[in-house]
Amino acid sequence: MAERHGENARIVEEWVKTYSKGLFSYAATRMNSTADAEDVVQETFLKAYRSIASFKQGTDAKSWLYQILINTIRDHYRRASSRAATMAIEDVDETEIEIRALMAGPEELAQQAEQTELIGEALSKLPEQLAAPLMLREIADQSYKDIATALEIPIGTVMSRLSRARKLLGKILAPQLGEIESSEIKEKTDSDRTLKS
Amino acid sequence: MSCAETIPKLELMADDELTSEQAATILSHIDECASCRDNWYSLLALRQTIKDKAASFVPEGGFAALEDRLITAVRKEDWQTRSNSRKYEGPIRAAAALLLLVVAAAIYGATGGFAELDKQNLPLVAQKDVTQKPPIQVQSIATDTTAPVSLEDALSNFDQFLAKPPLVRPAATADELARLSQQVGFAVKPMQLPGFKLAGCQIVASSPGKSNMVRLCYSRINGKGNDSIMCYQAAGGKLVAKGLNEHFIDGRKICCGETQNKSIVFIPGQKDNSNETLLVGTISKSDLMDLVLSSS
Repeated sequence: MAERHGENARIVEEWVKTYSKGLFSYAATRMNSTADAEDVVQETFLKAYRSIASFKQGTDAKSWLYQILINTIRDHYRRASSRAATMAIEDVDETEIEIRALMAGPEELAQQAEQTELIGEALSKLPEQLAAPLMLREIADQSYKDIATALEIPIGTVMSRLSRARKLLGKILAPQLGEIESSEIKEKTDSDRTLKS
Repeated sequence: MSCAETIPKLELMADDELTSEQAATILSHIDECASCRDNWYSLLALRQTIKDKAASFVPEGGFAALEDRLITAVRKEDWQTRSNSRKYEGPIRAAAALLLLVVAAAIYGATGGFAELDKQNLPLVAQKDVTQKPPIQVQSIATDTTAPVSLEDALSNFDQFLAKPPLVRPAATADELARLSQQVGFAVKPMQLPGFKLAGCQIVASSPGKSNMVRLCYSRINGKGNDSIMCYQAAGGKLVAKGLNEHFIDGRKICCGETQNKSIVFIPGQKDNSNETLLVGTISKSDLMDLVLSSS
């Protein structure tokens, strides 16, 4: 029995080496806090160790770990009653989501000097059901199929939630994104095309 | 292809969920349509912003430090789980043995076995032959007038050990520890340090007039060589370590410090006259503290 435990620890240690960076980036971006992210990532690996018997050998460990992480973050938000402003914990009706609920307001918004701060704030307040697919795609680089498996939702739902999440963030960041980065990306894409042709 | 058909597929293209043929059709439309092109660039910009934001977070001490902390936490958890398993292993085995005995007795009785025994009037087996061996007789140190050893004595011994390590030996056995305990006059208590193997134990010859210490040698192989930890034990009050930082963890005093690439943790003996324990190791102070806190 002791040997099996030792073997389980070795497996989880390998996962730490392979996936901790990605899990941390996900958690930090979602929570907009490195300290909270470190806590939930540690909790994630400990939960993985404790419930490794339920992990099916040969299946995707990365998806399984992200699944645990998402649940751990959700639990963290539930515990943190002080973060009452966060909408992330409940499965709210998507039609009720409004930009003003995600952001502080136009005046505070104007004070946000850095775009990354703005997106960090927005991502940390995005409802769970929209944030999880978006961040699994953008940060964990998971395919629609992987996201559907991790979140146990159909691929069609993954697509619609991704789209909703991007629309919301796009509106929030429109003033900044529209003028600066779009033109930079456009220039880069145009130059790539020129090179290819 | 129309804009209405193109717009929903922009995200699929950005997410690499389209075939190359499908993507080519969309790109062809984008070349011609300024509105769809703007949508496409906005989407790419948003994605890049999210990735930039994610990349801006770095854990305290960097990713390597985070990895170390996570691995230590997993090992600690593993050790606790294994300790708990061992804790229940004994009682379960004892219960199983008792059950077997009861069943055997019932069968024997039912078949008249006890009556046969009674007739033969066999002598009882002497109790001393079937009970466990008596506990180790530990000499009293009440009359011991030797001076306590110091932290410096232990550090000096540690340096000598690293300079000229003894030959590799098998792990210290229970018998070996029992013999040592009798020789030094206090019960030597090996620590379980997760990931480390107890490779040997010896009495450390101290200077005349000073108390004896026992040195328990622990080691583990890392990527570059060996990590070594020496656990020095002496009878209550017979090992003094000064100049260390004091911590109170779970109501227990634990002192720690470091000197010349060596980490030190000292666990003073308790009021019940338990051993003084001093650990000196080549690993970091925080790692040594973690090991001590997760040890049994």
